[in-house]
Amino acid sequence: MQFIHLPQEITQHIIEFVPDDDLAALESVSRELNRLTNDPLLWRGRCHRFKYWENSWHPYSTGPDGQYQALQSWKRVFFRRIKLDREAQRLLEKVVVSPSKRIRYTEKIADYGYDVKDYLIKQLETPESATDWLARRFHASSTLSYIHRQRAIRCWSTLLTTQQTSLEIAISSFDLFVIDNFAFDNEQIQNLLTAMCDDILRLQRDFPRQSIQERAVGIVSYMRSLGFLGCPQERFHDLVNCFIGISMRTTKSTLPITSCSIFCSLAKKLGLEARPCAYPYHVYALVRETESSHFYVNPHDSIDIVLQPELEKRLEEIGVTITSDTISKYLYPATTKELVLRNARNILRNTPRARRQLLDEQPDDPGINIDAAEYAALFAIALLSNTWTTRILEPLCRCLQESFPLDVGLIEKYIVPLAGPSSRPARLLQTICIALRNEDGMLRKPKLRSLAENRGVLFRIGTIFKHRRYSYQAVITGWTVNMAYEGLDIEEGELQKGLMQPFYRVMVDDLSIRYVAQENILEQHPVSAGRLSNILAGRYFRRFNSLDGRFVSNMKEEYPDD
Amino acid sequence: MSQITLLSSDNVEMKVDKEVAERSILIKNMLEDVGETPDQAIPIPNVNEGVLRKVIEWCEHHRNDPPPPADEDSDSRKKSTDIEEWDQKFMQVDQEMLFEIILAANYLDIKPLLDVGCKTVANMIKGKSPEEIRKTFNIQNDFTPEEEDQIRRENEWAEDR
Repeated sequence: MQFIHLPQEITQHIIEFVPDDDLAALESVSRELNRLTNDPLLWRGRCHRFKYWENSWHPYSTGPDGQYQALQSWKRVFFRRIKLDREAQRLLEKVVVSPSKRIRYTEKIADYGYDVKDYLIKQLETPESATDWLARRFHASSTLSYIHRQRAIRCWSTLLTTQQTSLEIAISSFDLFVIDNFAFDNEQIQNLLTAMCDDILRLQRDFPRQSIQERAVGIVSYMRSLGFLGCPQERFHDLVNCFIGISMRTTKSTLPITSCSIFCSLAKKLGLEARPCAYPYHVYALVRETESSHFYVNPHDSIDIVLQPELEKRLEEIGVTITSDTISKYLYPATTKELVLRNARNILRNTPRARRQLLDEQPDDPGINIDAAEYAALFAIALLSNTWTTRILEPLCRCLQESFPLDVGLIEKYIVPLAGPSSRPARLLQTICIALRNEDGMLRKPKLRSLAENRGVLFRIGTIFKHRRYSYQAVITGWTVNMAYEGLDIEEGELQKGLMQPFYRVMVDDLSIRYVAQENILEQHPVSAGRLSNILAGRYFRRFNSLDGRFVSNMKEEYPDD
Repeated sequence: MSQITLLSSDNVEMKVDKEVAERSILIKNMLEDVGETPDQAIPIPNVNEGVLRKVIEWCEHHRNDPPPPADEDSDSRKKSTDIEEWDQKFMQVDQEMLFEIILAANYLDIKPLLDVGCKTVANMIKGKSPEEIRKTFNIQNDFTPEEEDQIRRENEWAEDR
């Protein structure tokens, strides 16, 4: 009994276990092995290890002409993916190691989009035994967030030129700004909707044979049976309601626009023609019955069907004069663009309240990153409405500078050209972008401890301490000896030594950033970093060292001696 | 504990616990079809005594293993060429025996044993050049020089890493 006598099925089974890198040698051994290692099924199986694909490269994808693309073999596709993983690995290494050109390198990774999502997700699970696990997880996560925002913005930008983009994808793009579990993207939302359709067909056996009205009612009653019952008045302004994916997975609490989007998506998948209308305070779905007849449903409020005369009457009751203009505005389908803008405005309306609740320590459940939510709304409005009031422009600039400097390229590409080349908003945004680009390209100026002025700085980057007055635990992420120069707000109350002492930028265990005077620092060396051992610590640190109870700095360029 | 008797291709009878024999899906289905524990020996026509003893040894050791995962998980199973220590030792046999065990596992439908065997062979391929693989398994190089050239060119992906 020899290898060459094994039946083909066994040899194939063996080849499945051979690592990728060894297949090249194996296929050069003999004709028979060459044939078996080039079996498309083998490579298809290996391709299935990757969950996420940038559309243009997946062998199942269709080209711009809608034709199935069979241009690439599974083997080529697989090796392209392997190459991209290696390229992403090379670039992420640079991002992790040094702050200079961090934005540039992140953008390069993000150019590969979903083709490197599997790789980055794997990096989120970097084991704690790795010497830079905190930094690696942090930068993988922020790159993934960037890729998702880029995807959302690309989707919205298509709404400027076409109406092809489907409503649920455009609406669920808001989710892409706020998710931190990257499996919950808008592909996943599509999958959830498809599963709901299958469920409807399974539960409502007669569905395919029913009239259009019966089917519309069937969909609404199914949604209600799942718990999509709109939301009670007092929860109407919860931020979660504006995010279709999050609410589908958790509270099932929705705003009219979200309920209606879900309804229309389900209806469309089940062969009905349903589109939302921008009715005041409500969102009705117009469902077409025949060429000339239609009816409305409001899945947010009830399962009843409403006809146009009834809605016209209600409009008149709230003071709207019925003309062909008002009818087309309120009773005919709104564009996806209008609905995205409406959702964006809902978010902006709800964020101040969410911030207040956070301060009162009664945040919405589930907690949503409020800054990211607000940024999504501002970006959508700037992109789609092309209005440049200071109410939009100023907070958008603030978001870019303070929370999302990585997005400089997205602003340059999508927002600046819209504002008109020499307009005031464009100039303002460009100034910020240039400053961010310059900073990104620069080497950080090192703060040397050997300098006389720095001699009084007692504590190092990564030191954990208790605040003398307020008792909270925090970790040092930066220091300065010249507060006035840095222009920072100090709200420390009375200081015995005033401003003439070193100040430290710190991350508190509630993950907020504050500035603390040296006199208030009580150094500690805990065995565990507790709540400070959060992925956000990866912005500053490589890992926590339990032996000396400190974080290991990842800011050697700026603080070489720490 | 009820026992059954297996009969190897070279006519040797072996008594074995029913539970152990049922690691083989083939035997398990056969026993289920018969309904009761048979008095007569069950012939295993494709497997000789030496190999059958090895296979039974493996089944004895793994008698309490949880059932293998359903086929959907086959991908995660295939990714790893890790083999647990006992199985590694168990598979330290000559190539002849190794391939016989694989064939027997395939015939008797003992998927985990089949996988361990195939992984062992895959590990023998790991890290080797084509020539080393030929030598290891006694395979003839039947390519023409032109074909070899072409394969080398197509394999540029393997080199530029």
